Amino acid sequence: MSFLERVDQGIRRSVVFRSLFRQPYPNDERSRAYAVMNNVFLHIHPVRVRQHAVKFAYTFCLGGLSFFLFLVLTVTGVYLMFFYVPSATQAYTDILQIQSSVAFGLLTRNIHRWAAHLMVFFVFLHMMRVFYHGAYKPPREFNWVVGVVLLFLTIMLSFTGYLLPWDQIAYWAITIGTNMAGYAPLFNTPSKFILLGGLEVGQNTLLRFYVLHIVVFPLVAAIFMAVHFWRIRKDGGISGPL
Amino acid sequence: MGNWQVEPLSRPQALTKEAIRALRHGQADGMSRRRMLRTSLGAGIGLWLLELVGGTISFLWPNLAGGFGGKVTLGDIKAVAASPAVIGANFNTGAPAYFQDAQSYVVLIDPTRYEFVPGDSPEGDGAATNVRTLWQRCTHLGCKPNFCPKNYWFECPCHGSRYDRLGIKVEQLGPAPRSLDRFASVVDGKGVLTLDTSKITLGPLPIALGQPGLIPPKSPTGCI
Repeated sequence: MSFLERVDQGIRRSVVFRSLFRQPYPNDERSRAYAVMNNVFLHIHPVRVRQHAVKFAYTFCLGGLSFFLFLVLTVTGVYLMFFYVPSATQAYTDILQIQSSVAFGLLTRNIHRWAAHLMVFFVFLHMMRVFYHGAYKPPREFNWVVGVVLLFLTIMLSFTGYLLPWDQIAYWAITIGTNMAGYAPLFNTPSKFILLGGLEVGQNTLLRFYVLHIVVFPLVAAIFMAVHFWRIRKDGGISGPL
Repeated sequence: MGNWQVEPLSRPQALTKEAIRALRHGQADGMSRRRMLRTSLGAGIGLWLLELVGGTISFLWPNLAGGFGGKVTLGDIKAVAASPAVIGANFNTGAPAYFQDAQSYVVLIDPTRYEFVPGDSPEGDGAATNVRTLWQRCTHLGCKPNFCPKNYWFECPCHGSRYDRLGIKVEQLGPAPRSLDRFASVVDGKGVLTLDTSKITLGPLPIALGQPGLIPPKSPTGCI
């Protein structure tokens, strides 16, 4: 046994290595199933996927792409947070600073912006795909409802993010959007008041929308996504052709 | 006949070992202990959630004190005169002062009397206190009419509504349906003016040029 082989064996037999990798390298069907089942990230996914489900033209991977865009938005959003202050006097200049004097700032902001637009678009297409395949029918009716909640959360994430550049288009879009809340039945005036944090769009509104955009909605969406993915498996995987 | 005469279901019995065992395995009469604990736990969690929602709403409820939507103290006549709407158009000539925080124009009713008279003006017309506090919002679509130092009128840059220096809408000029709205105001014993921007009185109907109640322009041409 050469020196390298001995080092390799030493690592593989160590307590730390064996506590990290409980199974041997997955090279047959049984150990592959174990690898998926025993991993906290993978276990949400089904161990086995039906052949029709991996056909690209059946799903166009729209749900997966929506989730991928959510991850992209989370990462680029965290990057942008380092340079953005949700203050009425500073927010707009911060956006300009990100674009002009931060390395890769313009790229990061544009990725965030395009991914946001695309996520709304892909979530919509995903809903269309599910509808045309009749994949909302029992036993998947509960997951359809979870999906509707996720659609609402996606739109709210997009809406709250729209105010943050604090330019004219943002200001007036949010003025119109919150005026719509003022026409809701029963709780119109209080809900508009609490959403704006005042009588009109101002510093309080910017801070409120910022907190909703970066903490509340992503967290709630992540929880619903976990339920959404887990339900797919519990309802028997991706729906087959009718 | 009341049901106090009904015989009890079971007679009290001595707690022998057998009796306890029988009780433990038998169906509980009425609500079981497990059921009672579960129900009270559920009710407790429900109550807690209710409190949480109520507390969150009241935590997030905006406090408008000291800003627009609440009471704003502007100061005495010297402090107000130090904040003119247009530099060069002096407060004591009847030109308005302007306060962005209160979104408000402040104007003397009678500029020959350079004073705020202590008193209350709940309708905001200021007859008793010699000072009127106008909301900066054009009654047409909400733009801010600017004060024109040439003709001493307010002129809206959006659609050309004209108001005199006391906020009365000029009938023929511009689409606004009524005069500028007014805030309730109070002048205390020291002459300090305080607005209540949560109390708005709608402005009166427009008055035609040449009729009493409308101050004619100082010059034939304005700023817009």
